Amino acid sequence: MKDGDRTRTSACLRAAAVFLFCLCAAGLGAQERFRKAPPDPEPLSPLRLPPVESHVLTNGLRIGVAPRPRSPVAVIHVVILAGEADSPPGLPSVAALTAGMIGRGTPLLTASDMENAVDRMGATFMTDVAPDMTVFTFTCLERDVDRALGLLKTMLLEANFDERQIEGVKRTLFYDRRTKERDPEFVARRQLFRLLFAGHPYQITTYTEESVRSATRRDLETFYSRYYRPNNAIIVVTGDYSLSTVSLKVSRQFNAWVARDVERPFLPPPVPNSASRVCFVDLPSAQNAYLYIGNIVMPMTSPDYFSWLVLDQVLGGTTSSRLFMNLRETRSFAYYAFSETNFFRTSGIFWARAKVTPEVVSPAVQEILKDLENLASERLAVFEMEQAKAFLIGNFPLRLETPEEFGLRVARILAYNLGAEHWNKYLDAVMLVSLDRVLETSQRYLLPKPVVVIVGSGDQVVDHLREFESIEIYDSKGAWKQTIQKGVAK
Amino acid sequence: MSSAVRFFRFPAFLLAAALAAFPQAPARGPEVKALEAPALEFRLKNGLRVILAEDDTLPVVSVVVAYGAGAARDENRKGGLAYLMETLMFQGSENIGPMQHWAAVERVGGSLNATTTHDVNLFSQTVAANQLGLVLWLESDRMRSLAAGQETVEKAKEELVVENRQRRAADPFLETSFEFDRLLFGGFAAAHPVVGSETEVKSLTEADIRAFYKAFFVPNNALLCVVGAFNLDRARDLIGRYFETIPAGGEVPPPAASFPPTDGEEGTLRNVKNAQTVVPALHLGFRMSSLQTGDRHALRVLDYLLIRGRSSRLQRRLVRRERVALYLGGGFEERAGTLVFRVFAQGNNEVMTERCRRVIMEEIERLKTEFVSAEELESARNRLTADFYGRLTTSLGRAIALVEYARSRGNLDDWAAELDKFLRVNPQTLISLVNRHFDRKRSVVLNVQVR
Repeated sequence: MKDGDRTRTSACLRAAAVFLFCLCAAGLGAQERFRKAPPDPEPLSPLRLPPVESHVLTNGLRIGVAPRPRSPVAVIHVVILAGEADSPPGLPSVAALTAGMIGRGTPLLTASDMENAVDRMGATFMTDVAPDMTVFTFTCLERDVDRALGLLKTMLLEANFDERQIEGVKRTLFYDRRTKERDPEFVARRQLFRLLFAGHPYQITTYTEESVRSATRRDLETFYSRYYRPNNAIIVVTGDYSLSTVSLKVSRQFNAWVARDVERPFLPPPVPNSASRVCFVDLPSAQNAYLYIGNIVMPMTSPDYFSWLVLDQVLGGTTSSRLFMNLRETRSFAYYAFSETNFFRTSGIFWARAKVTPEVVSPAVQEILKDLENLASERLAVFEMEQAKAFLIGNFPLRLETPEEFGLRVARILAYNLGAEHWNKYLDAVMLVSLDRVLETSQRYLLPKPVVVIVGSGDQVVDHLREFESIEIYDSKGAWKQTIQKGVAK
Repeated sequence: MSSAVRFFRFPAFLLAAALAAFPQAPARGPEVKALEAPALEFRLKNGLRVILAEDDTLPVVSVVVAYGAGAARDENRKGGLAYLMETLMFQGSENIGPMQHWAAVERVGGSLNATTTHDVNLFSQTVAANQLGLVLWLESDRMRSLAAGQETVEKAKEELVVENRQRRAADPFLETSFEFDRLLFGGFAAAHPVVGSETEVKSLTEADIRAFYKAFFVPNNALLCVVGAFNLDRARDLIGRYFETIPAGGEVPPPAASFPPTDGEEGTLRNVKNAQTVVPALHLGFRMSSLQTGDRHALRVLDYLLIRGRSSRLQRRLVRRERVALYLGGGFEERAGTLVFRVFAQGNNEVMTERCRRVIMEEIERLKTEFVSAEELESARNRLTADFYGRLTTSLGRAIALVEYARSRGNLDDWAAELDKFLRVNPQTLISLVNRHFDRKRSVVLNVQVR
């Protein structure tokens, strides 16, 4: 706080330290006892989710249903079990470009015809390309689900790889990447992924805007022909349906989709980082410093998954978690500090992230590392673990509220083979996590040294990096420039 | 506890019957499904309006408290006060410390938000169903009392000033948008920006805050809506326990609204130079006249027909066919009882923005004389229906929809038939509507020119 502010505040405080505005002074004189403390929560309401059922057509297409009784809205998720990591070596972005061509016309319908058809139904069509899978989401009124499936079939099975449309998709992707590359958080996360996935197929997902240019029409057609097959796809319909109804509706449209063997090389999990590594990415436009500190962890199928969720929550799930309380509230280093985990088919990746002022980069990194070490060396306090569990249990049903999220979760359960009862065991599994299991899990995943990525403007940040033994310097695109050792002049 | 309890149940929408009344409409698919969520409405002795709607889809509950304490309540030269109150409502009350409301909801996995418009200060939270008592306890405490140290007030003002500066720096058209609001809405209540000006915010005093809270954050100026998985009797008990004994405030008068006179037969036309942008833009609006029965529904359909969605008339023509608008947005907006239709368009040059203006006026004139085609109307109805139902898929979306409806109509009597009323709008209704409301004399155009 500035000096002037402090003087003014002191004067005001002398006048009235705290004021209490009352609706009615007389009515507020003596409050009822129940107002003094929050009520105890009532018993946890049961969460009964339907078992995840699926049916496989003769062409190998797996069909799932996410039942939402009385829902007037239907959501169709089409999952292609190939994503960014399946783009051919040397041709990153092919998966994204191929996905972008779905809905961009067929030999008989233009892209504009299709977009109009979707819009006139009041529907929406979205595409998301993740490292392991590509997901198309079509949301429509329940009464239109047959029309929607028909339209989706046309989009997916009759995709036309018109050169002009490909250029349009490339342009969109190019500018999307260019825009993101101004965002220090995106740059930091991409650099962390790039370093942790070095030598692994997942690394191809961290491409830059320039990579978008190199793919040709033939590359896209080859990718499409190889992966867009019924035996490599899942369709999940969310709405007021049974599996038999959905199977009938979907098979009517997709049973002619031709299967072909999809060869997939074995994908080993990436190897966690274990040596000290501090990297600085120079992003001249950044106003502050952004810290991303992370490592490889387990996939969702691991027995450590639920204890990890509790651990991650304690570390940086909310504003009451350790990172936020330490870096922002206690030390005033950070604007914010949280942790997150992404899960893929063979592994997960976690990171602590914080936005700090340049002059506190070094102590802030040390504090985050200390918070990670503490988790791996000491048991959690009971209240901390219970608080984390309360959050996870309370938050779980909230994340299933929209039909899009509800259906996507079913799609993910099927795609990752998590089992029919995966989501019904969530609450019990979280409740059963013990202090010992959390400690074991943290020792397994937090003891190996994480990678530290710092993004900021070189002019503002470099002078504050002297405390580190060794710093790898990268440009804003992630290309290595030099490594500086402590005590060695530049 | 309460008087006048009314129950409502969403009936199935008989679209076939509705369509029979509109020979212009093409054949439709199976009927649209209704959400069978009963809503209970009552008022506590202190004047607090309560709406309860059960939905057991998931064990989740959303609580919304809306105070008729939006920016339209700001007094002249005290802009930003209502918005500042939104922040201060999280800074503690008699039994809850600063930011503890936020932390308490977050700790149990809930989500929360707050928003200030010209009409309301609205607070919302969604939590697991077993935490309903916690949220009601939190909300009742800040309805009953507000504790904020002078330091907190000054800090909130400083943050608002910084936020204002950041907003203005980030959006090159924000200032001209405020200028357009002044021309379109007229009187201070509806025309001034919610965030206020820097001078106004800095001049706000502790006495202003105390007076505003005492006048408007009172049960008889609030609406509490709970939607989700709860036991009706239990919810009523909890609401009675926490809210019944909060004393009512004084009488709350409706906010003032006024229109400035227009410049003449062709409405108001202004040009403004903008140093912040490299492309010109156009703000265009119409002030609606007094609404007749059914106008509200027809205006909403017109919204979809004209500007919402890529197949709406203006988007299709200006953005895709003629490509004179780089960006086009807008629609109907209501502030403090004043309803307007507004459009914002950006072009590469002034020839393009002028073309946008001509096309918008031309399309409005066409709507006065030509029936909308059945296909175009069907498309607008579909998009409206999808958005209508889309909002109702979450407990929070439904709670906010119920609050908005109850605030604008006074009660929930016709809520069950709401969508049906939109679907009944026909081409004849639209022609009559556009002729009554889109009067050039009530049009306002602000050309934003590059300096």
